[in-house]
Amino acid sequence: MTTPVLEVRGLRARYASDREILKGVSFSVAADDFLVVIGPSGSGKSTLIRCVNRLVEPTGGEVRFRGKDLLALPPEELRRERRHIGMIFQGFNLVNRMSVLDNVLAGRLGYTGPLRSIARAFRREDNLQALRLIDRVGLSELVERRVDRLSGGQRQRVGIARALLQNPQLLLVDEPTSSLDPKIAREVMALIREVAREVRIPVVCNMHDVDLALEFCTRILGLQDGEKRFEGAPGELDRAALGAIYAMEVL
Amino acid sequence: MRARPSSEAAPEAAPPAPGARLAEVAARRDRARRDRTLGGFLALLAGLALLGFALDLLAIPLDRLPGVAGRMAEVLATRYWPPRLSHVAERGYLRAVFDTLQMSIVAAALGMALAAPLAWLAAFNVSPAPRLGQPLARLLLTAFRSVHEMIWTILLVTVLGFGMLAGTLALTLFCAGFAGKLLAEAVEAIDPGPVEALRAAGAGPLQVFFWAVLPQVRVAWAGAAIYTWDVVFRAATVVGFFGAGGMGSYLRESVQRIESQEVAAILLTIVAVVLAAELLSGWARARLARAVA
Amino acid sequence: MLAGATLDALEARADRLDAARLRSRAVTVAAWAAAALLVGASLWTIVVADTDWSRITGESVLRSLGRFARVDLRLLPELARPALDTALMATLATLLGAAMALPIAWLGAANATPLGRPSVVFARGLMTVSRSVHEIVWGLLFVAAAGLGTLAGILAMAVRSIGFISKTVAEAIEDADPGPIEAMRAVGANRTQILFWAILPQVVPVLLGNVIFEWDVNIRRSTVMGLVGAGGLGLAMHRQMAAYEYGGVSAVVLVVLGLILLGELASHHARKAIV
Repeated sequence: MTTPVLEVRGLRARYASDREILKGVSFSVAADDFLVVIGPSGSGKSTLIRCVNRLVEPTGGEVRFRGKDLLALPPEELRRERRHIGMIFQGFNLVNRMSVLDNVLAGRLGYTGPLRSIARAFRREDNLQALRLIDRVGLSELVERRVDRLSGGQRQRVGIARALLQNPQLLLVDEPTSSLDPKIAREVMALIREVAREVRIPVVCNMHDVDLALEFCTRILGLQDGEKRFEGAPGELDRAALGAIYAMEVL
Repeated sequence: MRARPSSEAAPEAAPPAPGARLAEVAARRDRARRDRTLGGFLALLAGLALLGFALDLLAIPLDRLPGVAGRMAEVLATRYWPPRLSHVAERGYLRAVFDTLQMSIVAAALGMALAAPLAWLAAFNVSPAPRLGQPLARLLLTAFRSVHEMIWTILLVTVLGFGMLAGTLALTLFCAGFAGKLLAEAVEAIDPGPVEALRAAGAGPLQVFFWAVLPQVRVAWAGAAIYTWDVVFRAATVVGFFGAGGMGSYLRESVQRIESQEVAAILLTIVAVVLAAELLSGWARARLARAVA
Repeated sequence: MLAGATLDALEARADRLDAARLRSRAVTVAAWAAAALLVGASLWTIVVADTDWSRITGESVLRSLGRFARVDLRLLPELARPALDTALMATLATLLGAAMALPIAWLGAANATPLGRPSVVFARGLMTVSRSVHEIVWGLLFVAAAGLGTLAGILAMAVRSIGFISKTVAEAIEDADPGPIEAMRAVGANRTQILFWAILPQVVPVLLGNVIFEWDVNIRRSTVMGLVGAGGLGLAMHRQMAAYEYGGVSAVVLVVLGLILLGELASHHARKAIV
């Protein structure tokens, strides 16, 4: 792949009138990348992920997704582009009272007209694809089960299936395993890596667990205090680099 | 005014003798307590002064006050007793009771239908038009709610004439405001997670509402609907007093003719049906709570 | 993990799910249709059967609306005093109602009442009656007992407020954290002392919050008490209506709106101050 799927340049962000959270971060992501963003809390990892699809509005910079600068798009066009970016959340963000199938189908809303959406009458191919994906993530037995009756790991799988139903070109993953215990966390990370490889799409994931990150990523991006302190292969992340990322500021 | 003992003293630098330190802390606490007692006393005086001012301004005949209970009992016993039940046991009045019920049902239904989109617009977390629509919708709901239902009734009776139409429309506006507040509060209390997720997936505001908001507020909204009907039924029994239809019109007629025993009978039926409506709504809400537990 | 579902099996499953969904959907639609029918029938009665449409022409409606639209702004200074009266009426009524509500709440709380189960039933009955009788009806009753004027309005609103305040306070007493109560009992306190030292401190914030809320509601009620003779803005409105001064009525309604908005602001800030 020559052109990167995602190119971020000089990204800046701040919440209300607080101090700046992101102070000009730049990086790019190719189709076979599994980029993990690490850093201490407050470094801006979560904000960075959310700035890519503008869940948080950046104050400056450029976010080029498949060549288009997302930050310059009007609301309608942004919505259309968001369809191609799947997102997986720390808190799973599922609708608790709805079934697994309905939650997964929600991923298709960006492609479905208003009347069909309200009547919950998706196209046949969408229904079939949803069932396929539910099977792929291993929840075939639970298609009609209400989501609040599932375990954490199962819920995250629903989230993964929902993101995949969008036919995304990029996966944004925000602390997918913080609410899960270690063994399940590993299974979920493995699933994300597998499915991303199967459809050849890049993953940008933020995590606080460095060991887990090293196990699954192809590239590391280290943030500290809103600035990039490291970018490279996991093998290159030595003690000095870790120190640069996680150094405590002198009080 | 009872002053509470303070639970902490200000931190000090290296203390001299323990005895001296304690004495200082105690002295400070005493002064604080005295200030609080003095402040409370002054507040009480100010309150009493305001009370006196208000009573004077409103020309309240305080000398009449002790007699009120007695006079009320006397009036009730002599003029309002026994209630003329024959007046209410006839077909026309039963028709009026049914009319009252119909008005309340239509007002609650139409009011909810009006309130739901307004509540969506007015909720600051998911409003599809956060800059202009949100404050406008909020204002509209507040206006509907602030004007007393009897004022709405009088205004609409003037425009539309006597009868159930004016009453129902007035009650509908009241319901829209009343329910709108409850519905908006429910929307503002939802988990923002699914909303965020659907927006991230490219869903539009209407889709976000039906897929992320509605499933979360469905139960609360159903409870609000029942509660709203309960409240509007109470008002519906009285709107007839100002010219709209229903039981209230009988009340007005009997009051004008100073037929107190008829009034007593009508009031008794009003209290009875309102109690019945409350029982019904209480049961419905309990069923709802059990169904979702 | 991979079930290896063939296309046929997948399609069959999709079909089954669709059929099930359609069935449950049909039930929901039927229920809503029945409700719509009920409402529609009532609506028809109201709009068609009961209304004399010959008297409601587009022009008569517009004419009336036009009359209301010509707000008589000259009336506004005259309405300052009634507005003040209305606000004061509401305030006094709320305070009086709260004062009367406290003993009733005490009697109505199963864990604190000195008179046992019958008093709880009695107190709850009082609360229900207070809430079930519309404030207009209370107004009529008190005008008959205390004569025309603001006193009747205050008493009516006070009695109407008893229900809400005592119900919430009784519930707060019953829901009080049993910890402090247990502790007081352990040191040998009697029932009254427990009430004062363990229960009341938990109840006071609830009481204050609800009194402020009820005050806000009473401002609204106060605006109509005058319609049955009890003074304030309601009386001004009644007078304007009686004189067919529709512009004047609109002026009163505007003042009512303004008063209520002020009340909501005040109550909003007051409630934030207690929390």
